[in-house]
Parts: sequence; structure tokens; C-alpha cells
Amino acid sequence: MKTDCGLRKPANSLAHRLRRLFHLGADDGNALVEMALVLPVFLAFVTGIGSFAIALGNQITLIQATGSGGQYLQQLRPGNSGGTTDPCKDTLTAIENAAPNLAPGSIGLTLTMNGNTPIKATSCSGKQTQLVEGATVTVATTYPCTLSVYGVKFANSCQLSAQVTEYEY
Amino acid sequence: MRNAVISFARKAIADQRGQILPISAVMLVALLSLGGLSMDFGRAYIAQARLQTYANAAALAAAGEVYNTSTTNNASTYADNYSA
Repeated sequence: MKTDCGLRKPANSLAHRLRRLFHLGADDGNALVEMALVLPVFLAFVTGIGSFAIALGNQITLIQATGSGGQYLQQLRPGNSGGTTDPCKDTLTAIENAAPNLAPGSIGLTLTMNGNTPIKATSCSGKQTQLVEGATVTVATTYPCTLSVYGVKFANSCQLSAQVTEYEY
Repeated sequence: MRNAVISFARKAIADQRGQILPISAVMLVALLSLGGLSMDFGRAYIAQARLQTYANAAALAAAGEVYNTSTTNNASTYADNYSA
């Protein structure tokens, strides 16, 4: 028996039996098969775009929250109303509150106050003495991101970051 | 030549095999274009958010300096220093 594409196939092949079972012609179902081949590629593009969109959205949130944290820290100097005894903890809380859609425990914080050694911690009790009127405070944050399609990651390490330097009131 | 083209077109239309391929090619170009456009918009929004943060810091620095020193002499310098 000769098929449309010129190949000989046994009459009792699986393809022939399926065609007979469903009363299909030689070309019936081609679009279905071709669509099944193409659809995974399309879905990969769409889910990839979605993955990037989430990362970009998180980056914008992180930038805005870091700005809010910086503005909060610039008024936390001892002597001002609401003076702090733990600038790292209070600033991190302000950032977490400003970014409710980010996982609170995943936000990394580094504070640099008045040019001193940067402090990378969630708590730095007693370091409020580094807050000096008219000096600079730099708030730097990081947040992990995942860029993956079908569970396959584009990059092994992906980290969002934001930084702002404020004037200490 | 013209007959050959017409003949090819007739065969291509009549043959149901491979119809999805050209449709997919066109869709892929459109999809990639939209993906690239969305990435550009995303990067623009990030730049806008950074710029707004720096502008806020600059304004607050200048205001703080005016408040602390009661003069406007250094305000613009402080605004410049905190704008990036």
C-alpha cells in the first residue's frame, strides 16, 4: 500500500489501524500533531516572559522599598523623636513593610552609616551611635530571583539589588 | 516561471501538511517582538523608579541641610551629592 508521501507502510500498522478506527483520511489530524510540536516552544516563550516580568516587578518594588527604608533611617537618629537603638532591625522592618509582596526573610540588608564599616546584618543593636547629624547613611538591599522555564534556570545565581544614600537629619 | 509559482501555491494550499509551520513562524516573530517590547518597558520602569528614589534623596538632603544650617548656600551642592 502506498501512502501520500510515497512511503510504503504495512496495512496493519498502528497508524492505519488508528485511521480505520476513527474513520480518518490520510491528512486528518496533521494540524493537531504539528500544533502539539509547536505549542511547547510557544509556552516556553510565554512562561519565560512571565518569569522575567516577576523579576522586573520585584526589582521595582525593592528599589521603592529601599528608598522608603533610607528615608526612615535618616530620621532615626538618637535625639530625634522615635530614635532607634537598633538601626538595622528598624530599617529592615520599614523595608519589609514597604514591600509586602516580597518574602520578608529573603531581603538582605547592608547599612553604611557616616562612612563606617558596612554592617550586613538583620540586627545591629547599639550601632545607632554611628548616626550623625548631616552625615550620610547608605542603605543597600538584595533579593533573590528565579529566572526559569519549565523548571530549567537561565542563570545559577540571580540577585536583585538596590541602593540609596540619604542625608541624616 | 509565473505558472510554476501558481502551481506551487495551489499545491501548498491544497496540501494540509505543514500548515502550522508558516503560521508559527509569523506568530514567533510577533511573540518575540512583544517580549522584547515588554522587556524594554520593564527596564524603563526600573530606571524611572531609581531616578525617583535618587530625586527624593537629593530633595531631602537639600532640605535637611537648609534646616540644619539655616542657610541655602550649600543646598544645591548637597542635592547634587545625594542624587546618585
